[in-house]
Amino acid sequence: MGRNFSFKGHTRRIARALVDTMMPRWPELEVDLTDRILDDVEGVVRGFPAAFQVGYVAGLWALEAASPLLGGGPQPFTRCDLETRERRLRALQDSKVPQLRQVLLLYGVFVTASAYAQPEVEAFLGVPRRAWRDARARFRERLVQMEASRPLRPATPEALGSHGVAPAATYLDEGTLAAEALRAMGE
Amino acid sequence: MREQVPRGIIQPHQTRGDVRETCDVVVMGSGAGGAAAAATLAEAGLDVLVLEEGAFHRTSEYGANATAMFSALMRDGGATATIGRAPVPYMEGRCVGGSTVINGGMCWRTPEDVLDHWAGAMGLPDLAPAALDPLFDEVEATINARYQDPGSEGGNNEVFRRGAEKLGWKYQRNKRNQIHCVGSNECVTGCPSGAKQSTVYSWLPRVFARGGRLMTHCKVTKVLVERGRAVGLAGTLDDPHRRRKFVVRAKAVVLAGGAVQTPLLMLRNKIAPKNEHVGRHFTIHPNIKVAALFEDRVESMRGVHQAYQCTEFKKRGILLAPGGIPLMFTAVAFSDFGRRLAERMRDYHHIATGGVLVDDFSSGRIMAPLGIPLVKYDVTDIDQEKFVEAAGLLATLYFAAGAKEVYLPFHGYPVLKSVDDVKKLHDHMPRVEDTEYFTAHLMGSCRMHGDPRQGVVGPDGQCWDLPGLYLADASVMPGTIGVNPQVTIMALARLIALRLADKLQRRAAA
Repeated sequence: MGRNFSFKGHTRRIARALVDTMMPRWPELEVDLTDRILDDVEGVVRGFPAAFQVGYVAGLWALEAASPLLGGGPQPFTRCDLETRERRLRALQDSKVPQLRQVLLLYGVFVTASAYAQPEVEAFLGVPRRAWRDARARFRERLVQMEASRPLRPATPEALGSHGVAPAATYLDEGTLAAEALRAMGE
Repeated sequence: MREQVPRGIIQPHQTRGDVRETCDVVVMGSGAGGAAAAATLAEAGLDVLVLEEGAFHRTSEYGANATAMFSALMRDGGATATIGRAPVPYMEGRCVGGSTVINGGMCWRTPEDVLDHWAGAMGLPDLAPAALDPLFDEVEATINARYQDPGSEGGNNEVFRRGAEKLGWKYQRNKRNQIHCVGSNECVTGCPSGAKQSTVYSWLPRVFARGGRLMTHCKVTKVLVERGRAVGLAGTLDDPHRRRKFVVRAKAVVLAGGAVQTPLLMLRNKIAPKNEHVGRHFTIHPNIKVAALFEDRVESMRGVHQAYQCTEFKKRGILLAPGGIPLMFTAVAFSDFGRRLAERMRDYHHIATGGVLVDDFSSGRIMAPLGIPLVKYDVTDIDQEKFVEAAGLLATLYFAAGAKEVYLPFHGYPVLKSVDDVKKLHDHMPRVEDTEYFTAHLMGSCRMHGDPRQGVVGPDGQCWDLPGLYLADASVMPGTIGVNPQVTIMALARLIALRLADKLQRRAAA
């Protein structure tokens, strides 16, 4: 536990089964991201206080041992197929006991956050976030350069604007604008 | 070119063994309160040392891996929540810059009616609007609280504005602490373009310019008290190689760890044990999320996090706002998982996200039984009625803007398909336990009050029960404010620091 935390032995198998069930799947996207997401989740749990880590692992074991009560036969969670695992988690999600739903929500947040930040998922959904970040940072560099040559900066709270670099209509247009900004920077 | 670590920042590898320091004023925390106080004190000619528990990160280190950034920038990897009828997740920055590194950057002055109440009913005339206005001016100039560059708003803000305009509801442009925010829309994991003027770019350079220092990785565990007076701070230095300690002695001690960490430190150190207000009157401005599906593309990724707020219902304690978030947080907002969520996320480009914030009537409590931190907060049924009303209002706004469907964070509630469905919300009021809340505004756990029997600190920010101990963060806020709090925190911290500097200078002269 503590800052050396890692999923070990059967705990890792339970965590992996949970990630495998909660991660997104699309028939058209064939890449298997399970282990990468599991590593991310492990990294997040590593940042938890030790008591929270113990609780997190205890929750995994509770899922493994008690989830047969949620239906789908007597097998522990890790021995179930994807459909059964999902059915059990859906039963938890629809539980009338708010605490059970809330715990499931916590486990799901880290899987979902990691999964939808994977480059393959972003690319599949047509969200070029990394390229967008880079293009925006370079565009801003250009605006800041322009700022340096401006005689007077508008007083707060007025907007600084982007005069001479990009009109408002194309401010968020990364294609033409980024290229233009890069050209202006001599790259 | 690689961004340099500012001169003045001292990291563990630059010191050896246990660290002993002396200075005029030691400040715990480098967020909105700590940094503003430290800059004010340093500019008054005092020797200031800031202790920050987290690490320093360059802008280039704010990476695209969100979960890694949670661990790097937030306390407990962002997995912090209040306990109560429904958990309310919250985030605390734990890095140089504190929560100003992970906030959305909204800049609102404390509403005048709130200041009037503080000045009158709470015996704090120095917090009257006319008295604080010059401080707000200074704060806004320091952090560049500006309107957005025209065109940077993006689709998520545009549909919100369109809905408000169609309904004739009053909305205002947000000021945000930014220089050319270009709409990367990743505020929560550290602004990747360097546009957001967190304290790293605003107050802290002023500290360093006047010779002030900041030590990273310093976890304060002890307030040193001698002869009934606070004389320093001590704790552990988080050196990966070996356990080290630090002790800093000072003429005055300023705590600015935020509305959770400051009372926790006081409770663990049994400071003011008979003052029943330590850790109490804790308010959080609970939020809930609302998402809406549009026929046209919204492209939430492009544009600023929040360019407007709808203040039409402010008198009823309700604020509506768009909240553009990256893909992974939009996915999280649906509180679903697996294949079902995956199918919904195919529509990501058409989804807008927003939130509602209510002025909370309820208040929570920070506790430390056996030293274990517990943050207790219950959303009351009165507040819940406001949430349901507010969610309905935001859904109405989105339908007015052309939404096909609206998703609310109430367990078991169907997707709303038209504005007529909004009325059904009130037929069967969602319970607190069935609602998913979150918050980023933690306030008021060591409130300032003119009466020593009613608060933890006086008008000068000094602890009523321990001379030499000053609080300068969100914990001293006398009550909830109904708007994003960073400007209020900075103004109060600067006011407290100006008084403290004056006192120390007069003492030195005498």
